[in-house]
Amino acid sequence: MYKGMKKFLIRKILFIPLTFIGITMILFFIINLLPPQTLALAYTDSDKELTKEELDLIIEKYDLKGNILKRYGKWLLKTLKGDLGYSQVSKMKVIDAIKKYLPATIELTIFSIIPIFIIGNLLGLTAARNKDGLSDKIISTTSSFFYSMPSFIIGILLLLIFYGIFGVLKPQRYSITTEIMISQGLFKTYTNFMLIDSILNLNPSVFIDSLKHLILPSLSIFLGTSASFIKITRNSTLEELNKDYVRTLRAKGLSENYIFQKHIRKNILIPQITVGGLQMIRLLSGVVITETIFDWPGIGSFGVRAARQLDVSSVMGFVIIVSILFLLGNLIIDLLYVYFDPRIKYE
Amino acid sequence: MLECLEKQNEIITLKNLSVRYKNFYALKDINISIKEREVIGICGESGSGKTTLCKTIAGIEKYNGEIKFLKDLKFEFIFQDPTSSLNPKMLVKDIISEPLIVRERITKREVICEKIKKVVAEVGLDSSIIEKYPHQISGGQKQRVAIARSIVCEPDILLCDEITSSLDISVQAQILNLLKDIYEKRNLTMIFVSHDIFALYYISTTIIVLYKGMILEKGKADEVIKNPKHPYTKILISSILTTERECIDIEVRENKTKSRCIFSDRCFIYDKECDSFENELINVSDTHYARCIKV
Amino acid sequence: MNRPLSELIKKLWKNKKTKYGLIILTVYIALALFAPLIAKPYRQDNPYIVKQHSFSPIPQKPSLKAPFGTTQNQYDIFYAMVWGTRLIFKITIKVILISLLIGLVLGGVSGYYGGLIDEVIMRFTDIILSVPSLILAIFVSAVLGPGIEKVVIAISFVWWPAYARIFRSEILKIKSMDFIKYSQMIGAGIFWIFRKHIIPNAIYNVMILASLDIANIVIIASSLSFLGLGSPPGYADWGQIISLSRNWLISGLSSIEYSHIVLIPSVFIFLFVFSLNLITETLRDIFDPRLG
Repeated sequence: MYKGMKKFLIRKILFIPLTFIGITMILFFIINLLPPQTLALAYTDSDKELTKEELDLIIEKYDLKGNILKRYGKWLLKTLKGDLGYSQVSKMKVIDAIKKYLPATIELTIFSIIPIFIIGNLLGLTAARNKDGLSDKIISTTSSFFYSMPSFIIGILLLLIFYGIFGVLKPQRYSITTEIMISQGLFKTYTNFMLIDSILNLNPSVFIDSLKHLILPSLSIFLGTSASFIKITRNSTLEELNKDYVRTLRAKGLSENYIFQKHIRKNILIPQITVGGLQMIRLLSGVVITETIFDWPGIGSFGVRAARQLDVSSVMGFVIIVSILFLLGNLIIDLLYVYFDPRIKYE
Repeated sequence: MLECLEKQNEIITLKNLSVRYKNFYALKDINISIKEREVIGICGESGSGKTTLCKTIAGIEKYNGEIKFLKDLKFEFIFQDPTSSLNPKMLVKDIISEPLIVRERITKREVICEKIKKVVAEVGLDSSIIEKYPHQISGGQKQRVAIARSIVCEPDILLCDEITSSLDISVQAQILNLLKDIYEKRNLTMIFVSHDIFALYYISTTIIVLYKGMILEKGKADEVIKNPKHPYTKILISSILTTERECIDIEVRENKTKSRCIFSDRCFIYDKECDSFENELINVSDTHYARCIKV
Repeated sequence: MNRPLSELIKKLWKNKKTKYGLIILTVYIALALFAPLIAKPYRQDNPYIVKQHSFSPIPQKPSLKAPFGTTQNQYDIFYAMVWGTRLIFKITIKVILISLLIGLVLGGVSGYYGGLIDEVIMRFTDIILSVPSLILAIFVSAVLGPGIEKVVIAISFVWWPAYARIFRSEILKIKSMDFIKYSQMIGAGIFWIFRKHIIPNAIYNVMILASLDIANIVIIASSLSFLGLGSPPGYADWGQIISLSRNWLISGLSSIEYSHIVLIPSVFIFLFVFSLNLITETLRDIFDPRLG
C-alpha cells in the first residue's frame, strides 16, 4: 500500500465513528423532546398500564431525567454494548428484533443490488452501442419512466399484476409450507438467509420458493433505482467511444467486443461507482417502502410498524442500524475507489 | 501635480503603524501625516502593501500602532474593479443612493433624486444611466458611477485604490481629469494608490513610495519625481522615457546581502557601505525623506 | 424579477415535453383550487374526511354515484383524489416555505459570519444529510406522533440542510465582492446588507434547487402517508388510499375486478409526479451551464 492510500483510508475510516456519534447525538436530542414517562414505556415488557410509582421507578433506574449531555454519554455506551432497549411492537429486546429481521433485509438488498449492477450495466452498454436506435430509446425511456415513479406505486402495480391478477408470485418471504417446516424443525435456519439455508439444508423446493418470493420485491427495487446507473453507464460509454484511443484500436482491427471488454469496461468503472454510491440513499429508502408493500419481514417493515405505534426505542434502533449500513456502504464505495482509481494510489 | 491650496492642519496622523498577517509584515514602520486638502499618492509594485495601507486608513484592517484623527471624518472608498464594487442586481440609481440612505438616513425621494442627478452630471454621465444595470454599461462608466457614489455624501476623505488600473489607457486619463475636477470643486482630501508613478505625478501633492510594506521615499510630488533620491524610485521613474530628465542606466541586480536595508537585494548601487545601514528614513530636506544610506 | 420569470415560462413552453407537463400540472392546480366545487365537501367541519357511501367492506366499481369507484369501506376514490391534490399542495408548499426559512437563516448566518458558528452549522447539516431522508423523517414522525402538521415538520427537518448549504456557498462567493465591503464600510447593518445585496445575488440557485425539489417532497410526503405516518384514517390522502388498496390486495380477496382501486390512484399520482419531472428536467437543462 502506498503512503497516500493509507492516509486516505485512515481518514475515511475515522470519519465513520465521528459521524456515528453525530447522528446518534441528534437522534438522542430529538427523542428527548418526549416526556420521561413516554420514554419509560420503552423499558417495560408488560402490556399493562403502569402506575405513576412504577413509571417513576423506571425513570430513576434508566436515568431518563437530568442533564442531557451526561445522559447521552451513558446512553451511547449502553448502545455500543448492544443495549437498545425494549421493543413494544415485537415483544422482545430491540437488539434481538434487529438480529431477527436484519438478514431478510440484507438478503433482499443484495438480491437487488446484483441485478442493478449486472443487468443495469448490460442495458447501459446496449443503449450506448445502439445510440439513438430502437433499443436505446426503449431502454432510456423505460428506465426514466420507472425512475420517476414513487417506489410504492411501482411496488403496488407489480403486486397487482403478478399477485392480484395472475397469482403467480406472492408477497412475504416464504410460503406457509416453509413456515410450517421451520416451526416443526424440519428446516433449520442456520444463517437466516433463505437462499443459503436452503442450500445448506439441501432443500431445492424451499430454494425455489424463496426465489419466487424474492423476485417481486427486488424487481420493484430494481425498477425504481436502476435508471441512474443505466444512464451513467450509457453516457460514460458514449464518452469513451468518442475518445481517440478507441479509434486507434479500431484502426488496428480489434473487434468491438474486445474493445469493450478490455478497455471501455474498466474506464467507466469510476463514474459507475460514483453513481452507485449516490444511489445508496435511494436504495435504502426504497427497501423500507418495498418491505412494507410486500410484507417482507425485514428491518424496514419493522421500523415502519414501530413508527406507526410510536415505539420510539424500536425506531431509534431501526435508524441506528440503517445509518450503520449506510456508513458501511459508503466505506465500501470508498474502498472500491481506492482499488480502481489509479490517481488516489499515488497521492 | 496639484498645488496645495490653503494652510494645512494635520487631520490624520499615522505613527509607527504596522499590519501583520500570519507570519509577515504587510506594513511596517509607517509614519505619515496627512494634511487637509493634500492628495497623497501612494506608489508601489504589487505586494508592496499599498492597498493594505489604503484599507487601514479606511478602518477595515487591523493594525498595530497609532492612527490619530483630528476630528470626526467621513471616509469614502473607490475600489479597483468596478465590476466587483457595484452590485450587479442593483440599478445605478440605487447604487448611488445607497450611501445617502445608509449614512445620511435620507428618506425623501425628491431629495435623493436631486442629489443623484447632480452627482451623475458632475461625473460626466448622461442622466439616462440611472435606470441601467451595471452589466449594461462600460468599464469606464462603471467607475464613474463608483466615483459618483463616493462623492454624493460630501465626504472629507476620498480613498482611491488603483481606480484606473483596470481601465483602458484612454479612459484612465479621463478618470484622472475627473478626479482633479472633483478635487478642485470640493473640500476634499485624497489618498490615491497606484502603481503608475506618473498618474500620481499628475494628481498628487505628496508622493509616498512603498516597497515590501515600508516607505522608501516620501516627499512633495515635484521633488520626488524630478529629484528622486532612492534607487527604487529611480527604477520606477525610468520605466517611461521622456526627454525631460536624464536617463539613468539601471541594471537588474540580485545581490546577496547582509544589510538590513530592505531594498538591498535588488539595489543597483549596493555596496559594502550599505551593510551598516540601519534601515531608517533619512531626511533629505524638510519635506523629503528616503530610506537609503547614499543620500 | 418579473421579466426573467416570464422569459422562463416561455422557454419551458417551447419544449414539447415540458408543454405537456405544464398543461397537466395546471389541471392539478385547478383541481386543488376548485376542489370544493368539483367534489362537494362531505363534512363541513373538515372537508378532507373522505366521503363514504356506506360501510360495506367490498370495493365498488366506478359508477355514476362514484366516478372512480370506492375502496373497501366505501371510501369514494374520486373525492379522495380531488381533495388529496389540495392536501398535497398544502403540505408541499408548507414544507418548502419552512425549509427555506430555516435553511436561508442558518445558511445565511453560517456563510456571512463564518468561524465557529459556521463550523457548527455545517457539521449539523452534514449529519442530517448523512441519513437517508425518508428514514430520518420516519424517526421524527415517530417522535412527534401522527398528524399532518407533524409530517410537515418532519419533512422540513430533513429538507432544510440542502438549502442552507447552497445558500451558504453562494454567500461565500459573494462575500468577497467589493460592493459588500463598501456597504460594510459605510456602516450598513446586517439586515440591509442581506436584503439589498446578499439575497438578490445568492437566492437564485436556492430557488432553482427548491423548484427541482417539489417532486421529491411530493414523493416523500405521500410515501410517509402510505406508511401510515401522517393523516388520520379516513383522510383524503393519496398515500393512504394506496395503502388501503394494498391492504385489500394482500388480503387475498382481490381479483381483476377490483384492479381499479389500485390503477386509478396510481395513475393519478404518477401523472402528477411525471408532469413535475417533465418540467424540472427542462429546468435543469436551462440552468445547468450556469450552476457551474
